[in-house]
Amino acid sequence: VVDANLTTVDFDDLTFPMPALTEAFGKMMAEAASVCFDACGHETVVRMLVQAQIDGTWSRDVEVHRWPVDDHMRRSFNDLEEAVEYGSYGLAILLIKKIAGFAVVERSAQGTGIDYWLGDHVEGAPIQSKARLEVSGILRGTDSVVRRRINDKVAQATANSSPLPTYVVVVRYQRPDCTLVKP
Amino acid sequence: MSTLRELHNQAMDLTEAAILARMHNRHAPEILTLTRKAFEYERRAADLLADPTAPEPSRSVMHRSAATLAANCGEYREAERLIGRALAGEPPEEIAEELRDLLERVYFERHLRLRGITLLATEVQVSISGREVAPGLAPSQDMLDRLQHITRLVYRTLDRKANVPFRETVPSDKYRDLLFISTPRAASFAVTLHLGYGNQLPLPGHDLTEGVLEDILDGVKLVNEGRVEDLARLIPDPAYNRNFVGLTKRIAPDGEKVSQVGFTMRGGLEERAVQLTRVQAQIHIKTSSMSTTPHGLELRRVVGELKFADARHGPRARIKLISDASRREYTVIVPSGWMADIVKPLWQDRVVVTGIPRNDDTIELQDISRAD
Repeated sequence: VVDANLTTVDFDDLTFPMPALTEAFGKMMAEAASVCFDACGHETVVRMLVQAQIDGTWSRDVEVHRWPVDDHMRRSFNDLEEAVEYGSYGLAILLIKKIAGFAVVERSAQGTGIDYWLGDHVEGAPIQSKARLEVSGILRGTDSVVRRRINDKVAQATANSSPLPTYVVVVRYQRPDCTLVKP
Repeated sequence: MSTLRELHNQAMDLTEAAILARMHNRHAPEILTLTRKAFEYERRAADLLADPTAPEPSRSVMHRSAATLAANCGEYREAERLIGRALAGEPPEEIAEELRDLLERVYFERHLRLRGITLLATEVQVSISGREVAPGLAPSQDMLDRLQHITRLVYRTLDRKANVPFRETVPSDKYRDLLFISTPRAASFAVTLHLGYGNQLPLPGHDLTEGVLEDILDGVKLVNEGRVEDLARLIPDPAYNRNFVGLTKRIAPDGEKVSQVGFTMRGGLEERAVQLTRVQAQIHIKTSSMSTTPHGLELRRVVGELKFADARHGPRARIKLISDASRREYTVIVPSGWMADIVKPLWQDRVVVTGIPRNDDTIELQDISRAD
């Protein structure tokens, strides 16, 4: 754990330039996550349980400072499923930076979205020596649904003895909680 | 000359711009132009890693990325070529699997095209593909269930377009001779459904079937794109709307055995193909007037046997479920539009019910599916 004093996460940090995240896309992720928290009735400061299994186990309540949500923002995420997906990526990017010390440094196209890769440098060929970020989000769901999501993602990451290191992040908005695992 | 990194970064910035344009409901040509530009940059980047000895996983990931963008802008031959080149190297198994999945998607697009099959305006080709679907061979239950749900979708759309108020029973009585099925074809696995009157032509102005298939394809496309408000404009009646989404969810891919479901029909001289790629778990249905769970309340999920159904009391019918885990009996309130088409086919099966808890043993249904 890099930031042992981690107590807060601020969505404003998503709009600072990162090697693989434009300001516009970071803003969209911050809005998406804010819309999801708002849909679950949370205030602008959300107390979220963060659990990490990365070189040891770590668990803590973290204050998430989300953005206020207006009707325009809600309407731009007509598809809540998409808001859940991109909002979860935003939260994962902020938490993995604080907990594992990695930033998203590479992107690749995958499906109709973007696949993110973690690292601490951007030299050499893209993707080389980088870890994959696998994110899954749910608005509401029972503990067993969350456990199944984590298990599925971990199984996917460890299948075929993949040589690619992977960080798995599963976000649940209603409870709210977030689990980070490095299989 | 641009470097690999410059080309790749240009491609990814344009990909982000295309996603943002899609989310802000910009016009399709603008999104396509951005995606096509992104593809052109990413293909040039992948070409710089064409040599099979180029470093992995960079080589295969860049090829997968370029092939994805090619498929997203309809350049299927280019996508096939890039996937082939990537697989001819030594990609990590995880990326190789993703390349094969993408190739399957590219071939499915090809199968959606009619290629010599002549369709009338009243016909639609239904295709499925996935890990357990071979050319001309599909798991029977998976295909038959989907065809049954498509049939219900047609019946309900016929009713809705004839301005008949939603009926909680199956409206098959007057429509059962209107839908015909062809022999299966070895595309991925495809059949043609014919909606019409056999040899008997309808009287002018009395054709119940007119516009029904187009309407269904419009609705399926909106469900696939998650455009809830646009679907509410197409199908304003809540019971019909809920029924449409519920049936489409059951037709959608499960993500394991079946990964894609497609519909192709002829609109004038053009072919029109609609893909249903959103998996069942990603399709959510709003029940009753309550669109969200009350704050602080978590959904309840119960696995058990569907043992009892009571549809005597108007649109809000009830079923009872005996929980596998506790043998406890739960009452489940079923919203209007669901009993006949969504719940009844699961009668006496083991099911998974998810819903909003009303008290200790009563749940307002949000989703129901057959348990694995």
